Amino acid sequence: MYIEVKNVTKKIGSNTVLSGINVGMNTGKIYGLKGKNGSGKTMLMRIISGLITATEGEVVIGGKILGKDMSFPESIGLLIENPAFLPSYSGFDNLKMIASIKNIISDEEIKAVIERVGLDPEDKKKYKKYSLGMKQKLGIACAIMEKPDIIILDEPVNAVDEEGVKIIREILDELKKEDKVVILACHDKEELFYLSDEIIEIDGGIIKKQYKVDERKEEQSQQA
Amino acid sequence: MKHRLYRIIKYDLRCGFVYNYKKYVIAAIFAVICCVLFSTFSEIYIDDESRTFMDHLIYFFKGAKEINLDIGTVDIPITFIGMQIIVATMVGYYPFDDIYGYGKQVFIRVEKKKNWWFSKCLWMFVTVILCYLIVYMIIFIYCVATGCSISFKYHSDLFMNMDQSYIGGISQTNMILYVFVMPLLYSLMVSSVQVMLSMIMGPIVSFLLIMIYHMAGVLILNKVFLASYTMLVRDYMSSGRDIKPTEGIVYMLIPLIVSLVVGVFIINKKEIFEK
Repeated sequence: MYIEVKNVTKKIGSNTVLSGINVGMNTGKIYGLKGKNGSGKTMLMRIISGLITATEGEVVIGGKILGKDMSFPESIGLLIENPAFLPSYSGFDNLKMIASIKNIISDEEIKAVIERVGLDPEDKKKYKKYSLGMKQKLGIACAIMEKPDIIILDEPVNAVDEEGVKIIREILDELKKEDKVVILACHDKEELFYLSDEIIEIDGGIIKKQYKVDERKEEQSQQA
Repeated sequence: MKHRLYRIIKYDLRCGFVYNYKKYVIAAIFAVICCVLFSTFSEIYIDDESRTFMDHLIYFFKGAKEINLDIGTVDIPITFIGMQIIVATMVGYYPFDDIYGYGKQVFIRVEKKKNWWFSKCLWMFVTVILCYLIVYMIIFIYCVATGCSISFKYHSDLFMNMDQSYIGGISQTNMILYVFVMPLLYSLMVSSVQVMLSMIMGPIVSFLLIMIYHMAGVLILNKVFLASYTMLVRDYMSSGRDIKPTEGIVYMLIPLIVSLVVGVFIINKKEIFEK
């Protein structure tokens, strides 16, 4: 699965949010989007996920053009901004309801993924009673439960405790080994560098730099 | 794809019910209040045993005459307005909230955006029909409980005495259309337009626009405002006005179909930002 973002520009009214974005993303790698608030990270994620259409340019996923050959990427998991679930349902019931659309995973698999993110699958607590960290974990579980080829995570460690961050790191490592394409954005620079293989720096809707984290670390150690 | 659409519909019916079940209870309470009001207003003209199920339905769906500026009368049909408000609050918010909240996870799983729209339309139809069924059922239960006659016969003189509503001359077929088909079809038509508008301008503005449309139909007799076609006191046989139910059915089907088709284009162009 190769994602190719070709000369993508997004304008909202007279405001250019993204301008001439060109980037390729390959399987088995974690791409970290780095940038200030409003730099265009989330917009790029939304365009790749099919929630928003580019004003110019195109996104090609596995040889198919998004918005022409398909409305959404065929296999994608998503956590963008705040996760939203049915407030009166438990975590398991919420995921079961969403999983019923594709109907490709069993109840046991849903329970396993809930457990994997550090929540109790048997917990009957309603979603509205969840803490922020628990909501975030459930959002991650929802994004990865169907083992999608592309996983987009916007601020995955937001409000998550230390133990939770450790679990998310492990999950991302596993996803990499499973040859998934992971795209993530994170305000915590250290965490972003720790989690990512490649960093894409966006500023004012333009890609300023793109580099491999290992190479950057080597450069920095040589300079030191 | 066929199975995916079926599963989305199943999701919407379930999720939509969770979202709306309290409003079904409100619809039931509203129907009980209307039944009690009718019993109270009509008791000096007719006793419980003589009053029929059809009398109750007529009271609920007879509507009101348009505003008469010459004599300065304004007759507001509470049952019509109440029913339309309940329906509008039921259908106007769920699709919008779904696409921007919980349903975002569903949206990326639907394969094609039009699947999402068709499923929401079907959910809307089921919601409106269920709301009407609850009202009919409550009226029926109320009639049984109070000893009213379960009959499709009606007393036109009762409505004449109660509020000078003349409903004589309407054929039995048209009477059935007015109490079972026209209000439901009108609500389906308006709901389709409302849901379609909510995708463009949000649920609050679309709700307000629809309420203005309802009120215009209540106050003004004009074929653009199709509410007139749901009110049997405005029927051509009883009032002499140019209001025929069969014509109304055609007029209501046009905006209904157009809004469903336009909705496909809107949803295909829809961009999902945060609310």
